[in-house]
Amino acid sequence: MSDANYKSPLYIQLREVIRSKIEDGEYPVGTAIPSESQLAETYDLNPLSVRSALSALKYEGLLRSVQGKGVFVNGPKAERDLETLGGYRQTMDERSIAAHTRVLLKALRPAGPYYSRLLDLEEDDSLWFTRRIDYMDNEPVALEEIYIPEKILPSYGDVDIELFSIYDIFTWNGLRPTDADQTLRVLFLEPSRAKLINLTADQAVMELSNLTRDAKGQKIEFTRNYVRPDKTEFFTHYAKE
Amino acid sequence: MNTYKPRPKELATEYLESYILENNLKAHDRLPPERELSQMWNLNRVTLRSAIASMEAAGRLYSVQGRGTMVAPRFVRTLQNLESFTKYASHYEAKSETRLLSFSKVECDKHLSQRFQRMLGEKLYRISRLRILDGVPIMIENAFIPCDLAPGLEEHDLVKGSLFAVLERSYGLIMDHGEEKASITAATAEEAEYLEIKPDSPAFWIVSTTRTPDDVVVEYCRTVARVDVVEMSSVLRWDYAGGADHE
Repeated sequence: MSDANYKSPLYIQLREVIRSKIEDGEYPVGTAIPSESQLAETYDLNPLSVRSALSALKYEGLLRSVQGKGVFVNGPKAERDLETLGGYRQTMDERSIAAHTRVLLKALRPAGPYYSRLLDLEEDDSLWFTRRIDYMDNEPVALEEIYIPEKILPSYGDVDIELFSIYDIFTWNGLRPTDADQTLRVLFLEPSRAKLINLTADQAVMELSNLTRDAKGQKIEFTRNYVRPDKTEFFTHYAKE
Repeated sequence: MNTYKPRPKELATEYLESYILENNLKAHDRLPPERELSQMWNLNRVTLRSAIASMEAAGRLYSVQGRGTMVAPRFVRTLQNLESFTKYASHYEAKSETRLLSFSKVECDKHLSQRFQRMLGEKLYRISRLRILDGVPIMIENAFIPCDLAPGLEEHDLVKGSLFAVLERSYGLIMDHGEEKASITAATAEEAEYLEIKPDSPAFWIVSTTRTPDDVVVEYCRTVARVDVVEMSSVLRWDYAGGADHE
């Protein structure tokens, strides 16, 4: 609850003070705010209250800590529009944010018990499994795990997916993604995966999963995208049915 | 081309997920004993246990001493609609309950005045409600509504009734469309207490603005929702120039 008054706990009041200084430009984007001890001294608060105030703002992505350097005001988030076409790359390209992806793994695997059910395949059918990291301005922002039936995109193995989007590859193969069931969750990753996007295991991530169909209703792709919460927010429009 | 062999724990998780799908297990339905599952899938019990532990940590399963492992309750909140909480609860055959935490009048601060495109200091109702499903507190909604659009709103029952229904029936305000943003916040001590979670634990932070057909902003709402029992869903549609494919 963002609105604070003089009766609110001090850390909430401080949180709102810092928030409005960011909004007013007194603390400009990309610069460090005063240190915890300076803030504690200025407002005569104990360091714990200062830390609580800062931790909420870090969660919201307004602030971020840089090891050994201090606490900085974050730049604007890349909005990911849930209702527009295309994948992550398209969205980021449209907004001209320096983006690239690095592929960690791209391999065939058996669909197995779960993905065969999810994607209407036999257990022994092959799937392309891809794990990659999306970067924005050279910082990792998301870990993506992508499952595509081999029979849907036989040529997938030959395409350099660091240069071309999967959406492009679908189009080249005459496939048009038409709709996707999306689920948004918040969870904690295992330490080894959290590390890939510069998070620790006690920092939550947002997981967006997509089960995509084409015009014939055939399931063509399942993705799980683990997104740093301080880098992206999810935006959608709704209307009365 | 490389081939990828799922690691044993990954495979165990896939078996468990597929079991839940195949048997259409619902919240609180029980899984067979570990011994049985490890035999059925020919999996090492330590591996199976570790997969179950991860799924418990992710809020997918839960265990009760002496009763086994059950599917955890999850409530899916649909992003793109305007249905009432009571109607929403009915999809889950869940008992819904609403507690009014506060009802007050506040003045537009800079942020709110931008949201509503109104002057600083104009009066807004602020309605804070806790939503509970089957005894589980799932979210706190803080709604703001301009007082001049709904004078006397405090006379209405906003605990049993739907706010949007009151706005439509008593004030002729039709909630037609809006937009919503979802991100993460850390629950404050007060929010955590209502939601029965630990302070500072992550929570969904959902901000929505709802408008009438002629684009008047009627409601601005900030929601804090538990992430261990709530997930959000949406359907993405690709909008091709020249219309979608129809076969």
